[in-house]
Amino acid sequence: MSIPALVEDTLRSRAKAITVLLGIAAFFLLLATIVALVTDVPSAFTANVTVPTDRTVPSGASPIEFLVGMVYGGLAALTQFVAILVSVFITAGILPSTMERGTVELYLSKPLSRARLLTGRFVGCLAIVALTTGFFAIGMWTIIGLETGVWNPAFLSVILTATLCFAVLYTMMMVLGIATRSAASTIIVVFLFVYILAPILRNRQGWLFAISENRLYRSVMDLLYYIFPKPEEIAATANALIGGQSVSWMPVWSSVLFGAAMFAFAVFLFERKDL
Amino acid sequence: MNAILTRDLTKTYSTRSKHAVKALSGVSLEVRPGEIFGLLGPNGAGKTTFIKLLLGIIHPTGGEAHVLSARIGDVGVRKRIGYLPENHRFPPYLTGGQVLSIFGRLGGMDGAARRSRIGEMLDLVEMGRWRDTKTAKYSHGMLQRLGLAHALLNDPDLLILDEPTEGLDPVGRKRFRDLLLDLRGKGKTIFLNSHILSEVERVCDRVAILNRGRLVRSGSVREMTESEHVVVVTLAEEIPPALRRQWEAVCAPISVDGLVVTATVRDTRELNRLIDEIRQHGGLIDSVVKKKSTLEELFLEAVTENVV
Repeated sequence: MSIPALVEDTLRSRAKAITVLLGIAAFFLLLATIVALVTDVPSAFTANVTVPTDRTVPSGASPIEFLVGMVYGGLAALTQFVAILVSVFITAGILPSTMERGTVELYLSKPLSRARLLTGRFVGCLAIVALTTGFFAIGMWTIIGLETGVWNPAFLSVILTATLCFAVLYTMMMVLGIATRSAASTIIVVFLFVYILAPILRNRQGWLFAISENRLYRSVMDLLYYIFPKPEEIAATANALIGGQSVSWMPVWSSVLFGAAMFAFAVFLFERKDL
Repeated sequence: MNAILTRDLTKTYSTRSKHAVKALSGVSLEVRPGEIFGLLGPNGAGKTTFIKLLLGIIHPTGGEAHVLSARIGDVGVRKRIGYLPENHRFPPYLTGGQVLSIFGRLGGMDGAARRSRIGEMLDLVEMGRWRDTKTAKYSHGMLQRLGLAHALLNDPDLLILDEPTEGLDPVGRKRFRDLLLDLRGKGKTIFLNSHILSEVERVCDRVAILNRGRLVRSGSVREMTESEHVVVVTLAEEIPPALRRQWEAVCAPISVDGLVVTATVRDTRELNRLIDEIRQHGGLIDSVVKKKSTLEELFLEAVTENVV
């Protein structure tokens, strides 16, 4: 009973932000609907858009299916980028505000373990991402499907990958939020990781390995890459699924392992903390 | 079995400057079931620290404590506890009704019982018509009343109230006192932390005074406020000053101020001898009253002693 109550509490705490996000998503869905109504998209596609020279249409797929797949890929990348960016901003303050004096006592005086309180907040934050991403992705998928007749269910995997990617990042945010009680520092560190450290580690062979040929150094960089989560590569999983390409699951499971370890560490920190 | 039992409970905060701050030092206390117990102390005495330790919100650095026979930190026992924190902050995005609904669910209350209890509690604190208003729009007094409803929602066996009447008007305070007495009548234990000593004196069965993290005095309010050895005898007529010396032979010290004779007696026998002495010398007694200190006097005395 306590987890659903905490999820409801978390969703209500960000009700305004969720409404705005859903409103923006609804606006784009409406725009897409209008475009679909006034334009014959498949004809316009085949007349005006050509398959890029560096790509080949897979056997068994029509050019329109291939082009729609590319649109799905672009939409998936954009959806995940926006979802992660906005969600980090929206949710960063949830844990620090729960830990504020006068508030935390209200929660902890209930028959509720600290681990359960964290879990409730965690699930609540994931629900925010899943809800907003799901609304947009399902809406877009329906409009594109109705208009083009191309139904690619793999596009819906964007809901899972965006939520998973956020889940892993949120475990980092939990640790930071508990340690610093500051939403601002949590946002800064997470963005530094997502947009600087993770890309550097991903491209370590081009960038970091150029610094030194030392084997130990390179092994450490490799190790760091495998330890830390890989948001960009998790997001790319959705694109691989949409395009029907083979998927490398290593970025997913290694990130999930990191997230699990971070979650456990967050619980450990929270249990020991005097609030 | 005690509702609250602590033995040498100690809490030391380590700070970044490496100077440890001892917030609570070896506090041993017993709160019996069905009583109203008041914890008093100046600001920074460690009262809120004590309560937070009981609820597992902070962790002790020494000693032990039991609440309703369970060790502190036992999550399950909190189902039987109602708590109103000092300066509580209910989520401003929730309405009064939603606050009680969500915290009721967190407290493990079932749907139907919770719904009927929410209405009952809101009516009890006269907040029924504000049920659907967000707490962000509540006044301080309204928040305090909602806090009381929240603390009472699960019909707790032990009610821990930290500065519960702050923000309440005199009528609200009176109602609150009546409510506490009513709850005591139902067998509930109430642990009250308040700055308003007159209020504590009126409702509490026993009190403890904390100062600088140490327990400096504890006992029943009656025992503590009654100065057993001081009696005030009011005469109906003036007496000759010479008689005073004779009375002093019976009990000393003695002071006579007009018709009022204040004397210190060792026991009831000595008090009766003094009365006999006054009457034998023609003194006409109007009244005999045991002198009482107020809790405030006692509190100031205890706190000042501890400072010196």
